[in-house]
Amino acid sequence: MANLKQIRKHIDSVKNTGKITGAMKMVAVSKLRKSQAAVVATRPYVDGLINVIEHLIVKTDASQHPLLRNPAEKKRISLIVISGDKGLCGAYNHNIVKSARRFIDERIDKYDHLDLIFVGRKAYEAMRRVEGPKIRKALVEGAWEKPTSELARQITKEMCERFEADEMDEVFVLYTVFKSAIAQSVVLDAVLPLQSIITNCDAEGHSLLSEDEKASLDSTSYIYEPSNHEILDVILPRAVMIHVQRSLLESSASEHGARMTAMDNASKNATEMISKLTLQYNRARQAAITTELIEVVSGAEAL
Amino acid sequence: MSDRLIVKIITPEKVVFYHEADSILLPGTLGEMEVLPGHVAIFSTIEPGSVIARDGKRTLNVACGTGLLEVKDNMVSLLVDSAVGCSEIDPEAARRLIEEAEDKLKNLENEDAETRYAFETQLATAKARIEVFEKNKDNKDDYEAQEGFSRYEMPPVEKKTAESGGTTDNP
Repeated sequence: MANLKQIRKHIDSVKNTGKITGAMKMVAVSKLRKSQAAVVATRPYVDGLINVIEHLIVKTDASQHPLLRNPAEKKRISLIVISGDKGLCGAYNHNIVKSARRFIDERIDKYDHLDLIFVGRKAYEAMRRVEGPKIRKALVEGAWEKPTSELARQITKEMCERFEADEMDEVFVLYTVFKSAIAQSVVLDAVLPLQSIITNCDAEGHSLLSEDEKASLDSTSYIYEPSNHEILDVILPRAVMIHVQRSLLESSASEHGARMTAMDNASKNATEMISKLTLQYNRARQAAITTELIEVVSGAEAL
Repeated sequence: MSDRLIVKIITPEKVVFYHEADSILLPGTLGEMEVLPGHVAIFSTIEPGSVIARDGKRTLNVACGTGLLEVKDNMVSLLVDSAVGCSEIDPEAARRLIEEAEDKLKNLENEDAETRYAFETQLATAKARIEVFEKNKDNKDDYEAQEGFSRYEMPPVEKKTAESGGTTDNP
């Protein structure tokens, strides 16, 4: 019977899909574990950098450094939008795109220029139609194939140069923070000016620490080689870099988490569907047998 | 244990090395320097090159990228872009990087100081890797010593992350 065959085919295809989603889930789980570890592993480096910057800000007039300048008027903006290259991860990419659109809608009037830098193809493709005289778009090609620190360096290098050259006033990064496999939230962070990273320092780059804290930082007199300024030259671009790298890692963890949840749901749905279809199949089979029996019986009666 | 150094080598990816040592030899911007226990507190930038930490008979030799050194109370922290030991170095890849950088530097002349600097860094990092590789590849003892060191990725001394933790949380 054609109906029976159709149902059997349907069951087979759902089973195959279930296998794929199950496998994708397992892959996402292992990748998630790795990227979560990677997020944690950046911690010592970040702590080290912040420690040094704090010392230097107390000791020197750090506001002299071009990377620490804080423009009064923020008219030229860059927004780094971090999304995935691949789909099948629930609302992960969609949420980023939604937030990016909102950012543009709400703020575009205040800006002279908005550079959108996309990491990950999905958001780039979704926002292909977003255009305007103020908007310039760029995609970081093949972003997720590179190790993240290299990628972060590549992204931030140009940005730092332009910021130092007074061609850019503010840089934001839009990414997804990983809270748990089912909870991720989109976050907008300011990367430049750097004041957002160095928490205890005001808008002009002066330290906000109390005198006591300053004194405790000051108690060890460090030698600075070659000079304060040159140390800042080395360290500030790296502070920007690590910030972007963290966002990339958080996003990557979120993507895997979102995919894990999505694929888990898909696998569950597949199982549910299979059991429904099997029931339907058995009913149809039963019906067919009954019909055949009736045919046989009535045929025998007719004789 | 105040008469020994505690050495941390940290890259953006991971803590490469965290262990006690007797001395550490590193390429400072103002010249090669050796840090021994009791060294004065110092911040110094680090050029790409070979870093050697000694602990008794064992030595750790890694090729580091640009970075920063902090010494305070026998705590030596190295924040570097990269740090690889002999077993992780691919000499072919390093040679390719050298060729590429030399090629670019030749054609670049003095156009742009930034790009020039980037390639010089690449060149120096790759050269350091080759140097570390060549020096350690035949040296079975050192190599084994490195293996011994890399087992100490987790700190044998109490790790003080609690005090500095939390400052990097995004608002």
